[in-house]
Amino acid sequence: MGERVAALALATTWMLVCGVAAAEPSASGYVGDAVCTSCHAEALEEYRHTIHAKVLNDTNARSVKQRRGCESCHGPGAAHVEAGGGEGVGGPRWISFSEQEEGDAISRQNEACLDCHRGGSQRFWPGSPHANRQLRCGDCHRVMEKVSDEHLLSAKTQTAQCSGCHRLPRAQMTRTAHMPTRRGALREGWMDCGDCHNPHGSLGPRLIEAASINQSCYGCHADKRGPFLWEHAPVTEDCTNCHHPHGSINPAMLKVSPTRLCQSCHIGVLHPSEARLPGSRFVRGRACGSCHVQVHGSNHPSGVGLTR
Amino acid sequence: MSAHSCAPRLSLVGLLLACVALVPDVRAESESSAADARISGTVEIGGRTTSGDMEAAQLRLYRDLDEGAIGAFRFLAEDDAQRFYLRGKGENIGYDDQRYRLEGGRYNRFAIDLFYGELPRVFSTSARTPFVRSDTDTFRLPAGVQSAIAALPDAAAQSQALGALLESAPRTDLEMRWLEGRAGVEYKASERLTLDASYRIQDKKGNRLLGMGFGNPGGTFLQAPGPIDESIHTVRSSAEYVREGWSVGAEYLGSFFDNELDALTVDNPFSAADAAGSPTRGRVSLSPDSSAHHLSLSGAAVLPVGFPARVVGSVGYGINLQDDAFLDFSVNSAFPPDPATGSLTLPQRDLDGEVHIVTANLHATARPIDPLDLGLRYRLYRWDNRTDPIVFDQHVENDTGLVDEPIRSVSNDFMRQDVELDAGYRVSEDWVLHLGYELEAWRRSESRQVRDLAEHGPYAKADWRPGPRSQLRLSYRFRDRVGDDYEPCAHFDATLQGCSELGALRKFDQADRSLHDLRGRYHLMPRENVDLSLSGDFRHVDYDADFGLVEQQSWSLGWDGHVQLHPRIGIGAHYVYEALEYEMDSRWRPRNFAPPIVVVNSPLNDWSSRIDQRFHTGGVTLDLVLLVERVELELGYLVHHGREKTNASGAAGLATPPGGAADGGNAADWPEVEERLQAATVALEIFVTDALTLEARYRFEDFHLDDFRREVSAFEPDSNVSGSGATSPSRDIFLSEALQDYRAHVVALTASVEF
Repeated sequence: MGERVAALALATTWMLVCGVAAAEPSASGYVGDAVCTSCHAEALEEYRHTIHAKVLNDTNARSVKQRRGCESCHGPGAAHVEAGGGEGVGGPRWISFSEQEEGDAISRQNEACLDCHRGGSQRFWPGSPHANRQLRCGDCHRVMEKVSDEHLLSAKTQTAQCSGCHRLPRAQMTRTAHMPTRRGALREGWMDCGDCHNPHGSLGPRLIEAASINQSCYGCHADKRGPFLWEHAPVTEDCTNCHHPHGSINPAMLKVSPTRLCQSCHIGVLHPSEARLPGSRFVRGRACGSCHVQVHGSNHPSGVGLTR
Repeated sequence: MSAHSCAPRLSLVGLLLACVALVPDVRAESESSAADARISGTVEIGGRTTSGDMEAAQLRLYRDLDEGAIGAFRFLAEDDAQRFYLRGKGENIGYDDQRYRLEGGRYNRFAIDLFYGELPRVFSTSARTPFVRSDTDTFRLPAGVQSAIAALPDAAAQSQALGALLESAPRTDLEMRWLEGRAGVEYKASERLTLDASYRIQDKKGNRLLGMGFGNPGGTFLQAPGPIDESIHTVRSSAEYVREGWSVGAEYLGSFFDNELDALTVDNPFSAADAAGSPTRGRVSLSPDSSAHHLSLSGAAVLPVGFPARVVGSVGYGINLQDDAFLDFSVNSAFPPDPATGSLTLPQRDLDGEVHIVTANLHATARPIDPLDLGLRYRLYRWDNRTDPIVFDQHVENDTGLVDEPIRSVSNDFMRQDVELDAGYRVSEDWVLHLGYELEAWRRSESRQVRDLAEHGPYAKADWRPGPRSQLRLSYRFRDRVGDDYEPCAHFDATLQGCSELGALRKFDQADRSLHDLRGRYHLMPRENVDLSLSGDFRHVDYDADFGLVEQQSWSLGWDGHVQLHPRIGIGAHYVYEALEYEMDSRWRPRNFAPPIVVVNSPLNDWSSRIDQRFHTGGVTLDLVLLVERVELELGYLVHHGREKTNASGAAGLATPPGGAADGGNAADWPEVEERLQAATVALEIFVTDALTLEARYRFEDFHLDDFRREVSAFEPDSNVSGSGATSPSRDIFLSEALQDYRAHVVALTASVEF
C-alpha cells in the first residue's frame, strides 16, 4: 500500500512538473490550467462559457500571455499552489481579484485587466471618475461567469449594472417622459446607459462618449443638428439647457413647464412677459411651441421667430 | 391595435416551433458529429393575453404588448476547436418592438455583427383632427369648410363654427415607427492592431404634432399631425494600434440626415382666398437634410519619467454641412416673389451652411510619490460656424403679413475650454482624498449676450473604506461663474431687429452664478447576505440676476437594500426621493398699438414664479426558490409618484399704457401636475427537465397622469384668455393629444427549450 501511495505521489509530482515545464520554464512560476482545474473545477465550469475562456487558450490566443489561461490574469500560480491555495495567497505576483483587497491591490487588479484592455473604450480609464473613486473592474464585471449577454457584466444589463450605484437616474427613468431605457418589468430596453456614456472614461463631459452632449444627442436626433438659417443659440450649445435626458414629468423631457421654461430666458414686450392663467392657450397644449414650432432652428426664409 | 397583421407573427412563431421540433435531431446531430460543430441555445415560444386599457398611448409608448403568439430565440454555434462562432438572438418576434442580432467570426480575430430592430413611439391615441392628408406634406380641410367659416360675420361666429367642426373631427393616432439596422465588422489584424467599420441606418416614419400660427402673436394657431419620413445613415470606421507603453488610434464618423419632406402645408380655416392678412394655408419648413463628418486622432503614452505617468490625448476636426434649398417666403399667393423688382426673391438658393468643429483633449496622470496621484485634464470644443449671414430685405410673418424691414441671419459660434487639476492622496489605508480645481471657460460670438464667461472653483472628494464591507464616498464642489458685461440686445442687434428684451434679464446659461454641489453615498454589507446603501445629493445654484431664473435647487435621498434571508429567499427594496425647485422673476411689459408706441416698464408689473417638483420612486423584489432546481418565483413591485407645482405671484394694481393691452401680469397658481405609475410582476419558472423550462409571467401596470396642460380637446372655447381673466372667442385648433390613464394586465405563458 505504501509503495502504491509513494508511486502515485511520484507520478503526480512528475505530471505537475511536466505540466509546468510544458507551459513555461519552471523559473517563471506558471503552472498551467490543468493544475488550476484540479482545485477550481466548479468555478471553471461556469468560466468556460465566458469570452475569456474562448480567447485565453492555445487556439485563439494572440500572445504568450493570452496562452497562459487562468494565469493570463491571475499571474504565475506556482506560489499559490505550493502554499496550498487560498484567497490572497500566492506571493507578490499573484492576483486573486479578491473583493477583500484594498488600496494598491485594487490598482494591481485593474492593471491586470488593462494589460489586455488598454485600448478601445478603456483607453481613458486612468484618471477617469470611476478610476479615481477606487473602483475595481470586478465591481462591474464578473469575469468568471457569464451573467450578461455582453461585456461580462455583473448584472444582466448595462442599465441594471449602472443603476446599482446610480439610483437617481434609474428613478428618473420611471417618469412619464423618458428614453426607451426601462428594463425588467417595464420592458423597453432599446437603449442602455452605454449608448451615451462610456463608464471607463471619456474625453467628453459627464462620461459622454461623444465629443459633446449635443454630438451625442445628434446620433439619433440628427434633425436637430442643422446648421439652420435661424438658430436658437442655447439649443446649439447644450441640449440639457432645456431637456432632462433621464426623464421628466414634463412633455419632451423638458425640465419645467414649457411656458415657464421659455419665460426664464425671454421677457420681451407683450406675450412672452405675461404670467398667464392656467387655462390660457399659451400654457396648454404645446404652449409656446404651438406657434414657435421650430424651436430647435428653422430653415425657412420667414422663420426668424422660429414659427416657420 | 397594431398595424401589423397577425400572419407574419404566427409564421415566425411557427418557424420557431419547427425549430423546437427539430431540437432532438439537432442535439443528436451535434452529438454525433461533435468533431464539426457545437450548437447550443434556447427557443422560447408561448402566448400572451391581455386585458385593460391596452390602447393607451403611454402603455404603448415604446412597446408592443398585443395579444398573440410570442417567441424568442438565442443560439451559439461553434466549431469543435472553438475558433469560429455564430451567435444569434431574436426577441418580441413579429411585434412592433422586435429585435434580432447575428454575430459571427473567429474569437480574438474578427467579428461581424448584424442587428435589426424596431421601436414604436406612440405619442397619442386620443388625437382628433379635421385635416385630411391630401399629399405627402399637405393637410386640407374638407371642401367648403374654409369658405363657410370665412363668410361668417365675426370672430365669435367663426369660433362657434370651428367648435362645431372640431367636435366631430375624426380620431388620428400620433405615432412613429423607428427601424434600425446595423452592420459592423471588427478585425484584429494582430494583438496590437484593431480595425473597425460599421454602418447604421435609422429610419423613422409616422406623424407627430406640428403646429403653426397665423398673424402676429395673439392670432390663431392650428395643430396638425405632421408627417415624419426621415432617415439617418451613420458610417464609422476606426483603427487602433496598441503597444506596451503607447497606443495610437484614428476614427472617422460620418452622419447623413435625409428628410423626405421639406415642408408641412396646412389649411387655414378662416380664409377662403389668399390675401394679405388672411392666408388660405400656412407652411412650415421641416428639418433640412444635412451631413456631418468628424475625424479624430488619439494617442496614449506612458511617459519616460522616474515614476508612473501617462498621457492620453486626441485632436479632432469635423464639418457639418447643410445646403437644402430654401422654401419661398410664403405659401400665400398674395406674396409672390417678383424677380423683376427683387421683392420677396431669395438672395440665395440655400444656406450653404458650414460649421467646423475642432476638438482637442489632453489628460495626464502621474504618481510622483507613492500615495499621491496627480491628474491634469484639458478639453477644447470649438463650434466654428462659418455660414455667411444672409440679409433678407423683406419677409412674410406667419404667411400673413409682409414685413418690409431687413433681417439678418446670424451664425452663432462658441468655444468651450475645460481645465481640471486633481490631486489624490491616500491618507491612510482607509482614506483617499482628492482635491481639485476646475475651470470652464466659454467664448461666444458677438450675437450672444455674454462673450466671455468663466466658471471655476475647487472640489474635494473623500473615499473612506474602513473595510471591504463598508464604503463612504463624499464630494463637494463649489463653482463661481463670472462673465463679461451682459448685452441684452446683442441678438437683436445682430439680426437687425428692434430690441424688445428686458434689459435687466439675465439668461441662465450666461448669467453670473455660484454653485454648490454636495454628494454622498454610503455602502454597507454588515453581513455576507446583507447589502445596504444610502445615497443623497444637494445642489444649489444662485444666479446673479434680477430677472429670469434666479435660483435653482435640487436634492435627493435614496436607499436600497438586499437581504438573502435564506439560500432560497432573497428580498430587495429601494426608494429614492428627489426634489427640484426653480425660482424665476419676470415683468409684464405691455404696450399700446397706436403711435406713439409706449412700452411700460414698471416694477408694479413684476411677477415671480416658483416651480416645485417632487418625486418618490420605490420598489421591492422577492426571489424565492420554491423547489431547488425545479421551481423559482420572482415577485416585483414598483411605484412612482411625481408632481409639479407651478405657483406664481404678482403685485396688484398693474400699470398699462393708454389703450394698451389687457392686464397680463396677473400671476396665478397653476393646477398641480401629477403622475403615478405602479407596476407589479410575477414570474414563475418551472424547470421541468434540464432542457425544458415552463414560465408564467404576469404584469400589472397602473398609470395615472393629471396634467391640465395635456388635457385639451380639439377645441378649447375658453383658452383665449387674458391675464385679467377676460376671454375672447377661441380660433385655435388643438390636436387633443392627452395621455390617457391606463390599467393593464398582461399574462404570458412560455416554454423554453434548451438545446
